[in-house]
Amino acid sequence: MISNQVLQSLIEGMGNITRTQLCVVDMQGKVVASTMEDAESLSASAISFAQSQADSQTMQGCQYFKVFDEELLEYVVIARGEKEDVYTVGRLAAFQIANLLVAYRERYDRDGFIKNLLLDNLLLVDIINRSKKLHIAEDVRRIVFVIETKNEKDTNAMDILRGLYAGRAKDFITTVDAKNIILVRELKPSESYPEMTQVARTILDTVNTEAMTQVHVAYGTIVHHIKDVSRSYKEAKMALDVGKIFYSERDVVAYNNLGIGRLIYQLPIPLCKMFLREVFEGHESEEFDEETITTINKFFDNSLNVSEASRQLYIHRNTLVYRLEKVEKATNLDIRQFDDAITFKIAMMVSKYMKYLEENPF
Amino acid sequence: MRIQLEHLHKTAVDGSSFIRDLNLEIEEKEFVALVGPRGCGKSTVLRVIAGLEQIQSGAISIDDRRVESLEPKDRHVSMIFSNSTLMPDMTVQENMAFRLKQRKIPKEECLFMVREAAELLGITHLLKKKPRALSPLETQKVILGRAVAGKPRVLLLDDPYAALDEKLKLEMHFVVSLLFQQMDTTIVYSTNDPMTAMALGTKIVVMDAGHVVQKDEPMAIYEQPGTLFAAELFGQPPINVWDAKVIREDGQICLSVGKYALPLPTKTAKLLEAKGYLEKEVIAAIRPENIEDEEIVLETMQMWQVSAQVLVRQMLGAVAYLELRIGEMTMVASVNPRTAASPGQKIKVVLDLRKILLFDKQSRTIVTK
Repeated sequence: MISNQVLQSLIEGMGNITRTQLCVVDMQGKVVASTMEDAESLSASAISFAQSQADSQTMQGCQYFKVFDEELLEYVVIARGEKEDVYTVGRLAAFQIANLLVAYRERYDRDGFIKNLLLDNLLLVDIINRSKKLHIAEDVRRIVFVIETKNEKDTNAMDILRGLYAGRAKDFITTVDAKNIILVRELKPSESYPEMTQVARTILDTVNTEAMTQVHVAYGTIVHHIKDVSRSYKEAKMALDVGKIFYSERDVVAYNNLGIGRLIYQLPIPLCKMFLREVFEGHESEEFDEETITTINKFFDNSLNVSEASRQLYIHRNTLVYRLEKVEKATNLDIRQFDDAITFKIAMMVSKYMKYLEENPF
Repeated sequence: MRIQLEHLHKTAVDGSSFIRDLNLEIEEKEFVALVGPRGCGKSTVLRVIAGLEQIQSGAISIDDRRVESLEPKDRHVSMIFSNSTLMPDMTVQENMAFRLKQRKIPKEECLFMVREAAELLGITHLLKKKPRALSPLETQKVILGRAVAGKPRVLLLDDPYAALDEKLKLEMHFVVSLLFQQMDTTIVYSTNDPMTAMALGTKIVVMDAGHVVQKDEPMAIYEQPGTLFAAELFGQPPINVWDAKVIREDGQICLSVGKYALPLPTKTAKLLEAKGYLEKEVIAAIRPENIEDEEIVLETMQMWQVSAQVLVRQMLGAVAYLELRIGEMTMVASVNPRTAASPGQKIKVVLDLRKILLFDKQSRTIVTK
């Protein structure tokens, strides 16, 4: 599980400090890291040492040491020289590699555990047992962020997130599919939703700045037990979806701030169709041109105030009234009236949702 | 580097516009400040230039090369946002080199570029430090240094210092201005704050509702705004605005100011007559510093004298603000702090009509230009 690069860096470091030549051979006899020029010639003797009962051995001017990972022999470390201090260095190198194996195993175990936790692949009893084994606290507040990248398997974005959270050992960064990076973040006692919005913005801005890649960030609700982390993940995923449909202008979407979009997203499709038929009576909302849609949105943004909306649209008041009357003609809804405005607004959102479903069939 | 935006159009999924038919030319080594209210499309313009947002139609060129289809990382553009931060476990040097390494630039070259940027910003002594050891000002300098380390052709700043306290904000504005003088980079800076735009930009672009209202040099926009919107955006205290009428009185073309009819300067009067504004209603605007109460001005500009009652006097050290009641109207004057005017007192003031701005009542565009 440890890359050869890490092993090479380790023995180079130790070799430089102790002025000892070192070499690491795996169980296939392949030299995986070395500071010796003739390392390949030692692989046969390393294999024969591996098959012996000894923990360490001196042969042909070199000392050999075994490295175990949970009682399974993984590597042979070779240190050149027969003196006592070379023996100490060899033992140290073997010990260091054995510890690295444990650390790496744990890291990958933790990653696997978080993946399974997010995907609901674990029984409650397994969640409790494995979190204890991996030293992951159960009763702490956590929140899940989903970071959707524009490009699949965006390693730059992943590197940046790892860089941002490298110092936070209690947070987890993982992936369960090609486009989404997941951050499970432990909250400090003083932190709550406003701080999480700030965290999301920081992620967004830093990934934008450093990776120059487009991302969307969504987050779920704060959960108080590790068993609920998957709930926060599902909420974040839903927030991402709802954001895409109804709030495309937002780069950060919070599950607890989805507004009316949350309700519409959960409506059954036949009900949506029935509602649209009833409101538009055969007219489709897409029939409105861009100018009309901009007009309507500006009118809504200005709380149905004709004067202010017309001012912001740089059109005469009468032009706005004319456009609104055109909408009334088409839909039978006078959106200058509050009730009709609400019906129209919801109908537009339902229509948007239906369009999204057509374009993205499950 | 020269940036050209032609007929840009970007709409939301619901069909409403973020930016519409936006045209803008940014010349090489220009420092352009985009300014306008929240939601007017400033950030969208920056993100579109960076490639972080796609457009529905239009053309984006950097140095006459179309870039719409280029990935953001291939546009040689750097961007800083208000929440940009440093990676806590990396040293300043590693932070500054991070993006360069991702661009597969050789290690030695990376180091050289980082050192160069650090020297430019005077942060060489911080290179080995971790972000937690930096002061807020140093952190902002490092973030800026990281953005310029790769010598970007264009530097985009999306209101990066809006959330900082006033002192720090001011210091960073000086740093950015200095950096602009020392680098051959085109800078585009978006801000909600007109004062920031005035302070930083060599050119200001006023935006509203997704399109460009005016682009000009800071003083030109301040003194000759193209629209009432631009006039009201700049200036502290805000410009005084009232409904007025252009009338002819005793053979002179005058402007109504409450019960007063003040003669307009000949040039302005001729312009208004030629444009057909005689006997028509207009929107008049005058900046507070163009209302004066000094004796010498009162004597030399008697024709523009009006009576006013002082409602409030605010002393700000370098200037004093007087809130005045002129007839039915309330106006604010920015006067010499040694003024004798005090609340409740009736005084004479001069409205310097050489500086008056008149706007069409319907289109709200300037008519005195």
